[in-house]
Amino acid sequence: MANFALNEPVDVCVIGTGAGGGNLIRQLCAAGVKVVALEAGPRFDPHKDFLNNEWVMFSKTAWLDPVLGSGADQTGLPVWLVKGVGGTTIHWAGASLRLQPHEFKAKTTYGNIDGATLEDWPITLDELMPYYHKAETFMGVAGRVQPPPIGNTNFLVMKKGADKLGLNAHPGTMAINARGPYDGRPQCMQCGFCFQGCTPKAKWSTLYEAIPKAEKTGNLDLRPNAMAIRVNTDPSGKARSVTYASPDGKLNEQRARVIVIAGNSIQTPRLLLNSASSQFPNGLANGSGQVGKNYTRHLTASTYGIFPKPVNAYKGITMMGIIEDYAGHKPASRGFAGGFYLETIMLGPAFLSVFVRPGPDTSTPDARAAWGEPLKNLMENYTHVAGMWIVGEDLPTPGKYVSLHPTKKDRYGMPVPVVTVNDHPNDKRMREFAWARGRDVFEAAGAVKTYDTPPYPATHNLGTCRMGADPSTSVVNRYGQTHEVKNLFIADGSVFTTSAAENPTLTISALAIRQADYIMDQMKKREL
Amino acid sequence: MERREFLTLVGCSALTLTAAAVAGPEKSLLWAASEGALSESDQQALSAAVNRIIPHTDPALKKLAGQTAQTLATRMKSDPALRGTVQSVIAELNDQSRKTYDKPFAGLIPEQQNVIMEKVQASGSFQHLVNQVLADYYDKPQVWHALGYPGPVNDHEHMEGGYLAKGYDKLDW
Repeated sequence: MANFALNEPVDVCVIGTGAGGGNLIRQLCAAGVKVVALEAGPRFDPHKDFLNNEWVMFSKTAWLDPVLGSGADQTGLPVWLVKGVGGTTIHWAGASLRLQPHEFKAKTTYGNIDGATLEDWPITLDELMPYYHKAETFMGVAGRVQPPPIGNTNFLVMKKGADKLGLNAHPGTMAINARGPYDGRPQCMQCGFCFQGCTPKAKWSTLYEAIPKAEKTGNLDLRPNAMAIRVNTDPSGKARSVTYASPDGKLNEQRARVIVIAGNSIQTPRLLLNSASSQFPNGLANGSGQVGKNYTRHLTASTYGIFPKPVNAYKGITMMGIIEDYAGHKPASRGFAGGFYLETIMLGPAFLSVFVRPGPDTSTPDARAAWGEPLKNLMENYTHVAGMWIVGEDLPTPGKYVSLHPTKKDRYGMPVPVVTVNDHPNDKRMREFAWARGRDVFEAAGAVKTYDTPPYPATHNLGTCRMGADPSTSVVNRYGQTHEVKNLFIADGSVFTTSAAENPTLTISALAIRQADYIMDQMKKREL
Repeated sequence: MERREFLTLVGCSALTLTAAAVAGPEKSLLWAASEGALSESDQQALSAAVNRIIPHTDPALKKLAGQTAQTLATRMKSDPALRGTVQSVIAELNDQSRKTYDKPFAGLIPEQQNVIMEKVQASGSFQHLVNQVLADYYDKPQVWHALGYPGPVNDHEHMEGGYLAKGYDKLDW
């Protein structure tokens, strides 16, 4: 890897090394672009640092710097993101779904919905498809470029119910080496701890795919434990440098020809808003006032069921199976816009006891945690439990946004981000409908008891720097380039115009690979 | 919701692991570590509340519930927020118990204790205590094994090849 002198100007400075930053860094470095990557968290060694323990890994990898929650739908932790090289690709399940064509045209397809701030994406599926193929190849998506996974026991229970209902449950497209080694990484051992970091590296992460490849080019200087504080501009209004804090608290300034922020949908708008100046009084790239707005986090919930016979759902790839029958947009028959997926999920005993029937510490203020006989019944049937996650499109509204706290600051003096969420009625209708479908599936499979489980802390954080064709209503253009600052780009889920229903990592990756091509083209043309 | 309360769940892990690592004499060590955190009557009330929150009757599981009560008592000594939570819940339980049965909570039979617990379960302190108990108790490998869950099969200490050849794809019903 490269080791540029501190403050030595480079071609591109990338903030964040998750799905967006990691893919972008790999592509730029492979083409000879000199990159400094600033990562707020440490660099974990999967073989030394990853443990098969839920609470230990949560405390080790989660972004635990203050993020406050506000609004009617609060969880104990507003968001669940990873702070470390690889970002949330350490924690993610591996589900790699392409968006559907109509989801790029949410406003056109769904029409004007009261209280929603829908827009159409400025790109189409056809335009993104070549980049989906590239992303799937880098990530090794089983079911696309590798043989599909073989379903685990949790999936087989889902399938049993789905078959009786005429639904199509099948193993999902997963960025996991489900059937054999791929790209120098080994086959999945089906240990079942996908969310705790994959020790064998069978589940794709930028930590051990994109970043090492970029380092081998000699063009990447990766700086872990480097917290970006603000992006500075020159008198012409171009981005000039990034001020970041080293672990010792010392402030450094990194200059670059192009600056890319890939800090996720919470930290990216936070950084832009904290970069306000006399030139950009509302925050950098925020002339539209849309930075931090249009936040979406997917409509999520879960269904769990207890069965008369053992399931042992903890075995194997956590998000192995999927039902796609409800992914389409069928408002007349369902009473809501957009669609959702049912995907297998299972938690270890430590998380299951807390999250299946959560109390106010990990859910809404009126929630009451299970204790006594109901808890005993659930936990003594642990081996007989099956689970599925509901993930669907949620609507952007004026009541969902990320902002800066007016007075509270973190240890760097940065204002603390506040995540405000209030469900749109469409979100509530979809959740109720989806819970009923989850119950249908498990009851058809023979469940003796089912649980409607509310959302976990949000892992799919999207939309706070919306992509759009109109600079007055969006933050970035079709390439993630900010409308206001030509050499400033965004490469994470915050550019999503609308959430769509699909797990977002594959789309974030495809957009980042596409953005890399654009940046290199513009650099060659001296437009950047 | 106070984020602080969620994050204090995390604090349980290290202590749980410490307790798990102390084979054999852990009981006495834990009792010693919690000495002075609570009066004897409050310790009995906390133990009774923990036993009603996780009322497993299997002897192995029941014994481990006692460890969780002791672990919480130990943590109270260095965690003022937890100390406030536990003291508040004990006060609520004893208050309701005296009003209803004219006895302290620890002196009631389990069915009566459940009645009292239901009366106070809406309080924030009670809900927080439940979370603390669950986060500690169900993170214990001994509890996992008693529930039939084998735990890690592919971490540093257990490089056993996961469930690849152990029926991950076989459902016998």
